[in-house]
Amino acid sequence: MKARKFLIFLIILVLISITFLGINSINTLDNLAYVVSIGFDIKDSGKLELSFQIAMPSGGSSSSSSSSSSSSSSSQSSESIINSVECNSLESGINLVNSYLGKELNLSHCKAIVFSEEIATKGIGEYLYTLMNNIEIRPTCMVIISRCNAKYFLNNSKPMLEQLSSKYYEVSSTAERTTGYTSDTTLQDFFSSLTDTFSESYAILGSVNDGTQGNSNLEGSDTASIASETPIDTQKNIETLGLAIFKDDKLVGELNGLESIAHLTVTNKLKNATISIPSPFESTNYIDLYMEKSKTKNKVELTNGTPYIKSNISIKARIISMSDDYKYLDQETVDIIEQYASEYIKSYISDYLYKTAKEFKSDIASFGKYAVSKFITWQEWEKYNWLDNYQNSFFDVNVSVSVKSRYLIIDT
Amino acid sequence: MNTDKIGISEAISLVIIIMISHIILSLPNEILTSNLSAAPLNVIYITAIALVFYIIISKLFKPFHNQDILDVSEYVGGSILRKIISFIYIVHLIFISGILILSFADTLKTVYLNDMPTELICLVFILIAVLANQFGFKSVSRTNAILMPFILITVLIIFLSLFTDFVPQRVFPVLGKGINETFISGISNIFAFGELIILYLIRPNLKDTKQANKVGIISILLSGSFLFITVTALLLSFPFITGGEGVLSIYMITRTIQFGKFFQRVDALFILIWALTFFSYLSVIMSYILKITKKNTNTSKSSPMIYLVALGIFIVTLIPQNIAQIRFAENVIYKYSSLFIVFILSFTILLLGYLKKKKQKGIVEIKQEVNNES
Amino acid sequence: MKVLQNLKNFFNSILNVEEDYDFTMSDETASNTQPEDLLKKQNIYPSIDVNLDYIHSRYNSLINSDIKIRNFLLNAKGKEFKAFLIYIDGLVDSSSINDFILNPLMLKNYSNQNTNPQVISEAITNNISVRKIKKFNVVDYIYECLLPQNSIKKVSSFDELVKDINSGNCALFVDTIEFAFDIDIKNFNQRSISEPKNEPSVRGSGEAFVENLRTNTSMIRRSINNENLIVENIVIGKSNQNNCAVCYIKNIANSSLVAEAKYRLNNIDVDYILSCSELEQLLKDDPETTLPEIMSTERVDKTCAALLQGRVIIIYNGSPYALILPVTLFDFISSPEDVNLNYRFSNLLKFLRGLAFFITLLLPGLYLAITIYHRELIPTELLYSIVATRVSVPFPIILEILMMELSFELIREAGLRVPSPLGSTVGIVGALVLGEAAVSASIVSPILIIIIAVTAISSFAIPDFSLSFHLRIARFAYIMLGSLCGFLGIGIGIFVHMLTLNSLKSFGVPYLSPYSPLSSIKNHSYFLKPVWKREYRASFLKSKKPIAQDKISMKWREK
Repeated sequence: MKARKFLIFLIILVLISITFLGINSINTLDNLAYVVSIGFDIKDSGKLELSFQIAMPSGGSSSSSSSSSSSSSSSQSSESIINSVECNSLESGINLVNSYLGKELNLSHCKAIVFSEEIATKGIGEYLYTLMNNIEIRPTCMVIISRCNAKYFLNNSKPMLEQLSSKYYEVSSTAERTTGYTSDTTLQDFFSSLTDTFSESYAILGSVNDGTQGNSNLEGSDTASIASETPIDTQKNIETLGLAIFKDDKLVGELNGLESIAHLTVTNKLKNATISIPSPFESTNYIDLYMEKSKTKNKVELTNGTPYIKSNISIKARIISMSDDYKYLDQETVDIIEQYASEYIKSYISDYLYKTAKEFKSDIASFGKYAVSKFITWQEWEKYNWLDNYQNSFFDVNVSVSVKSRYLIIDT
Repeated sequence: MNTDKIGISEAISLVIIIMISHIILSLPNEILTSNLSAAPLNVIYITAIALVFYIIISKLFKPFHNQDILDVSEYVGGSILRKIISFIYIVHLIFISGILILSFADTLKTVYLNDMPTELICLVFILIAVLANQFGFKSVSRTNAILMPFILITVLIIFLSLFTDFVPQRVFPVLGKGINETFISGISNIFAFGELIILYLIRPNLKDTKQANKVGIISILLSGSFLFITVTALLLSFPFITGGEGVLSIYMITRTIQFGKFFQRVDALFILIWALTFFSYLSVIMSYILKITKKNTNTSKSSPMIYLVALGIFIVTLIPQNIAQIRFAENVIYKYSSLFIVFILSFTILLLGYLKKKKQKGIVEIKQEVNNES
Repeated sequence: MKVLQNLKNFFNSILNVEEDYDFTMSDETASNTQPEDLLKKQNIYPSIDVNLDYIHSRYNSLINSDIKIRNFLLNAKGKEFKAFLIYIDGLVDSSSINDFILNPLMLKNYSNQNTNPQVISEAITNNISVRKIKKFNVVDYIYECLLPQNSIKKVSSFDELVKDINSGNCALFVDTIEFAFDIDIKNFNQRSISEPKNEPSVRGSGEAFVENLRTNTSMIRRSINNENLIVENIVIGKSNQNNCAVCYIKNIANSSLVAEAKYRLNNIDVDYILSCSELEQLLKDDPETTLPEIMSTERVDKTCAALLQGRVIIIYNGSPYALILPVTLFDFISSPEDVNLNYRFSNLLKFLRGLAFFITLLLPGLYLAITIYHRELIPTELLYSIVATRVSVPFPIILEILMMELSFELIREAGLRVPSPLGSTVGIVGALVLGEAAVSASIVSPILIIIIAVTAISSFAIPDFSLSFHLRIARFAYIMLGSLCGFLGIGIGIFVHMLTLNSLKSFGVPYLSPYSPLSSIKNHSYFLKPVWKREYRASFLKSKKPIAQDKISMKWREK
């Protein structure tokens, strides 16, 4: 028994010595500053400018009483501060901010990483590798490419309907489930697409909408708009709409809302979306369709080294708009609408596909994974180099829409 | 102390803990870099070979009831061969336990305890294992058996949480680097089943050979399936692992597990379970080292030897200087030493012992016949 | 020289672990010495010596300390017969035995001295008187004339007789008679016995043990009507020679277990022991741990249930507690209410108590580990509210927790000694006002108060007193470990704790049976089975009768 007691005593001694030798700096919760989002900019001199949006947690309990008095002016009750620093890399920037602030920066609750367009066109590969190597960063945070300056973006990201800005980012990313106008790309997804040999990466496109009316001569429907150009009359705030396309790690193009819906449809990630097609009965009216389920089957065949991609898409939709003298229950009407909708959807999906192939030359829908099964060994696949061959591909899209009835009113 | 009888589930847990510890560290990574997308195929292949190997071993062990490999080596070559084999086993066990503990301590240091020196973390592990052995082999094996279901459940949770993000097409191209790499030189991947070393030593503690067969087959199947699950999960979720860029592969999976938007970054809970895994792993290996020394040295109490063994393991943890050396030790030195000791050396000795026994039986039968005739 | 010797002793004691006292039970399955069928259906023998031998063997009266046998000579009509009386001490009214059985049978009085025959009828003819005399029948004579007792039966089968003796009657055997007299003379203590103070229950019986040993054994005898229940007497203590009773059921309990218990009791060399808690500490397998290995209870129904499972009970004169051995950890988490409820409710409560076990052990340690080392585990909104409340608190978290734990322990200890009118006031003052005031003065954060309160409530949900003490001590160890190395420290704590639990044995039964040596889980697990499925006794008790009931117990369902 005495031997056991001696051993336990020894272990306790070793453990206690850890505290008293000062090896472990007890960094409790309240000695840290929690970063909500990081912004990357590049200055004209070529140096990196980092912006950190840091949350001030004292806004949690006390702001509930103050917000009842100031309802619309959200800019005053913002509880985050923005600090920017000019530096060479992420880690040195964090170091500089640490020396300025009283508390140490902690990145483990970071929700969004924002890159500006300029830095994205130059290439963001090295920053991504640094971020993935960092222990604290969550791989599930969002990656946003902003059309304006990242610092301007962060400065204007003020929660309209929430108290905490961290929750704001989370909520805004889930909005895409009902609209389909952008996709919920995380750092993990971006990084794995970057290093994959059969797909390219894409990110959320965001910008600041300062309330000035967008281009009023937009052809087509409301969905063909892009971030910062939506015709919403509102206070200055951020919005995310559309996708940013990358080849390797450089930004090569942008997709608007409708094309994002096309992208999500083709990759089977569409949850719900609403599109408005021009009515086949009256040329000035629109019929709104609510797409519930879309199933896509992709097939890739290689003929003489050029890919021939076939997509069979079946969509279930509901008519949700009503006008006053159309019998939408009629089989004939429904047939016409289905046919028209199929043609319309096929046209915009084909547009999107050829745009990615010819204009951007980047396979963001990862068709490459269907092509891999044609090869036996890894060496053959690497020799083929799918990503360079994608620009020569041909597409064959077949869409079939089945329209169900609408909700409450049957006949008018 | 050498002849405490243990049940089936305790025996299976003793064997599996080694495989699980390797899985948590860099074993799946090693298999993936050598075979790329043919890794699942390779794992099934080596599991089958390990199973066949074990069936052969159990047949060879049949004439030796309830004796382990040391008794067989004494039968073959006298006490000198037994001492040599014991020495080789002890050195091998000390080495692998030291390297594994150092690897895990390095992981802990990188992830959480940035300021603690790795030697201190290793010292804590070793002292806890020494304390465990003071309680006796029975306590160690029972604690191991209690912890095993929880550890297995965490591996399953890791697999299931990634299920929705699988890209099944990553399993193509099917043959990875080619048939040669997958099947012929890929057979060297059977070092993953280095846990079979315990199966050589566990026989005196089991009731009979039928139970020993059951233990062996179930443990090989279980550990093979868990290896398959982990390798597949890694392959189908991350592309960059195949580029050999991930260091702590399973840990990186746990960083991406989330339950809705509320519970994210639950990897700390997994660190708790893995710390328990490594405590029990080190205690089990140490108790086997003590058993071997006790068999050779004729002592009644093995307590002072515990400190010597602990010192040996601690010295091993001090040797590698940086992570490249650790990985080299883990993947290259361990691979070849395990292949040699488990699959070649012990197998040869068993074969020799079996043949000798058969010959002796033949001689005895002939003598009996002669006696009957005369 | 002495220094060298001391150094040598020191190193010896560090390096050499003495072998612990290791007792394992031997396997016994149905090794009855007599097949029980032969014992049934036996009729009373005419010869008194054979009867006496039979009674000795049936009641094990040589070792059973409260079976009393009184041999005497019975006078009837001038003739003397050998006779003996058998009764169980504590269940009968001794003064009635003296006055109404022994007195008329032993002392010489007219009834038994009179040698005149009984005359039925007399006819006188021609100076010759012919009398019809009743033939002298000893049985009838004793039954009708000698015993002035109000309730007597003549029985001829041992079965019936033994049943009645067990319930408090006394039996009279006379030589040459094939009958025995079954005399009802019951008297035992009824309800000065009160409700159990510390183990209340909603639907169970309300009887608790008292200080008198004989009363306690009589309560057990009343609940278990079985002649195989042995109550042995052992004397303990040199200056204060107090009685201690060891109870077990002979054809269920493992005999090596009984032998070990008696061996330990007989080899205690102390001056005096005043309570059975001291006795418990002297009997423990591993005196170094704080975990209890013998259960002490004051409920009678719990004791009887333990006896019927095959355990051994020790009752000490002067102490209202009974010691149950052997026990496992899961017996300490089961409450005596469990058997009185529907098995589903009991299982739900057992699950809740298991959860309370873990909460009271681990919650403060986990809170410390998470807030100091693993902040990313906390969801972001919760993190902000914790940080917001901690902004004005001047102490680091570990000091806060230690202060609040210390004050809770002080409140608990003070509550035991406060006179009862003030008892509840102290609780309210201590817990509510202090906690509330501490929060508003920003000395502690409100989340910490919640954690400490939940921990304290969970510790009250553990039914056993000594186990909750152990959990209190272990909780401090986990707090220390959690603050030193985070989850690694908690892992160290859990591992060492489990090692300790697995190395303990309570009278030969591993402490975590039936889960730890997994082979014995078949019959008896932590969660209860329905009543009609409890066919087996616990296999870790290695009882002589492993099968308790038939496969189908509700035979009324069979058509």
